[in-house]
Amino acid sequence: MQDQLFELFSLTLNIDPRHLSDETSPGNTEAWDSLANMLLIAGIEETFDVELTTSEIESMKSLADVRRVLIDRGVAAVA
Amino acid sequence: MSLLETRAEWLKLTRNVGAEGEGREHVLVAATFTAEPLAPYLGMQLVDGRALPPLISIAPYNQILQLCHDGGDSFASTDAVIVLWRLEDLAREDLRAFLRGGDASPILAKVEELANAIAVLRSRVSGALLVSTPPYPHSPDHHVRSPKGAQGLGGVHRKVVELWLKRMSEIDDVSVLDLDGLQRFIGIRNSEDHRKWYLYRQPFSELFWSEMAADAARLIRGRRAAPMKCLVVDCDNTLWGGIVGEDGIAGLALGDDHPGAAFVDFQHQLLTLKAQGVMLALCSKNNEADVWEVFDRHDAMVLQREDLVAHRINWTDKGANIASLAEELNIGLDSLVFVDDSPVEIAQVQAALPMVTCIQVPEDVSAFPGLIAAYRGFDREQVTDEDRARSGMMVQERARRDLMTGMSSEEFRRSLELVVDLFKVEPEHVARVAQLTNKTNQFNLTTIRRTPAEISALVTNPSTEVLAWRVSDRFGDYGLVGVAILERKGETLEIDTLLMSCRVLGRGVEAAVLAGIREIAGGLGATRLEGAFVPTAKNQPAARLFPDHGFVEMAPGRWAIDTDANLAWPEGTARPGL
Repeated sequence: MQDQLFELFSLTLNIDPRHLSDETSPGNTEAWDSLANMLLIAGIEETFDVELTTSEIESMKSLADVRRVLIDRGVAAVA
Repeated sequence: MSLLETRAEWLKLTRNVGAEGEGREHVLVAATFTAEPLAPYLGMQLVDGRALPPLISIAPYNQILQLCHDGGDSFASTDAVIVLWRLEDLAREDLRAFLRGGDASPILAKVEELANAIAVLRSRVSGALLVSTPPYPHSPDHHVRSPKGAQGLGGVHRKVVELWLKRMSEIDDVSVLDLDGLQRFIGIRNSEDHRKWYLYRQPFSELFWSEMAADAARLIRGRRAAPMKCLVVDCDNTLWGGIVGEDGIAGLALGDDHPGAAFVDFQHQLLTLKAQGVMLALCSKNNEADVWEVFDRHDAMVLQREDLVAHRINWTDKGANIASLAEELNIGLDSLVFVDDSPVEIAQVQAALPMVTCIQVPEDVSAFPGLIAAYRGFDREQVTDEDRARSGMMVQERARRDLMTGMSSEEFRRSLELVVDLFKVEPEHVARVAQLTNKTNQFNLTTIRRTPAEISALVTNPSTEVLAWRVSDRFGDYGLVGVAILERKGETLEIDTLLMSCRVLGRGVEAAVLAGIREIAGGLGATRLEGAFVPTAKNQPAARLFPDHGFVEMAPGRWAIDTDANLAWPEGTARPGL
């Protein structure tokens, strides 16, 4: 099964999933700007049916961070 | 499509397009808050047959006034500009002061200032201009449910909205995007997202953005699309509950109690639509006498026989009946809405006439009036005098048809005592003239659609003449039914636009109008009158206008006549105007 997170990031950032990794972050990915971040947050919340807190949103500084927040929330699909 | 899927589709569509505007519909959004989340929803609403998706650009955050006053060429290529604002962004400190006992006047002054800026913006933008109403203001200092809300901030908000709507109505061709009403509809709790406000200065939920996009797109598209003209309704279980042929008049559900009250409310909705220019007609499988007995004898009937422009009460299939209604009323099938309780009848009509919009009475009739109220196809931004008078005119039309039976067409024409009043368009006619350019499909030589702002510009342009005409006869007044836009090109007067409502065709009005235009052309010093016929799927009725009146075809679709040609005002037709 393709990673749902990679799928969402690939679509939102317009990047081939092969070029995504847990290290992908706003710092090393030009497309991950504040506008893309808004789209990513909305996409994560709707895909995994969670409502993130502002501190969770602010802690998401890489794809690995996003995965960690979701695992902490008990979202099994990303583990 | 879910919100997530909608955004995903938009990302896919725009993936390799970039921010170049060439060949794309361009909508500019300016807001007092971060408005980027609108783009995917609005973009998907506006996607049409074009090769490239629309370009939705967002002006810098909270700089509406600067943009209006010195936006420069930001607007050069825009097809629409959308201005979104909230009171708490426009007058944050003044609102706080008000909540602490201050005066409301600084708030209203800021609203006036914004209204002035919108007037400037309107003069700079040639496309659609959509301007929001402010939603109910929110700040941590107060709450909509606080006991003081109604008199305090609620009162200020009402004043602001009232002032704002008055100011916007005074500016030509501004469409109001009612965010206040939208927020009432989906609820304050469902429309706000405080997390996004504090993180991004973006106050709204995805749901609110998506609904806002739907309303905005409707306003943008509605400028060039004609509203529905006729509502055709079934009788049994649609106008009233029960079946008159089986239950009898006394057995029908129609009155103050459930379920009869929902049908009474539906009938009141029909009268409101009629007052806005929608024609009402019946299409029912019934014995005609039974139906009229309900109309004539049931105390709770709101709708009266004279409210109807036509009816088909028989046992023929409804598709055939609706097609013949459209023919009788001289309107396209795509401007008809049909309401019936039977899924079978609706399926038959949809199969036979896919262009007709069908609405099925819901099984729980308590949802019926709400369903009709939510239908947006009848919306008109401006209701003109002609809209209000339409139903009465259709009744006159029936009298004319009765007269015509057994007469030659020339006898008929003379017996009508036709009056064609040709005149130059003044500002008060602009709304109606623009409406005609947008909704006239059949008798229309070039089918060029124009907004009120474009018509106003043509009226003041010294090298163009915008003419219109009213027609009446001894049965009644048709109102302002035709428009011609003429452009001076040296020795030639070019007919850029000539269109007429089909209701007045076949009685010599065309000949009168062409004769009038020929004389005006001569008066302007032109030696030739030229024009094009641009065929469309619907304008066949106008194809013979030029050849039937002595014009000569110079090139395919291009026609001309000398201004001294023999093209005279028809005898027996009165000429009070030009």
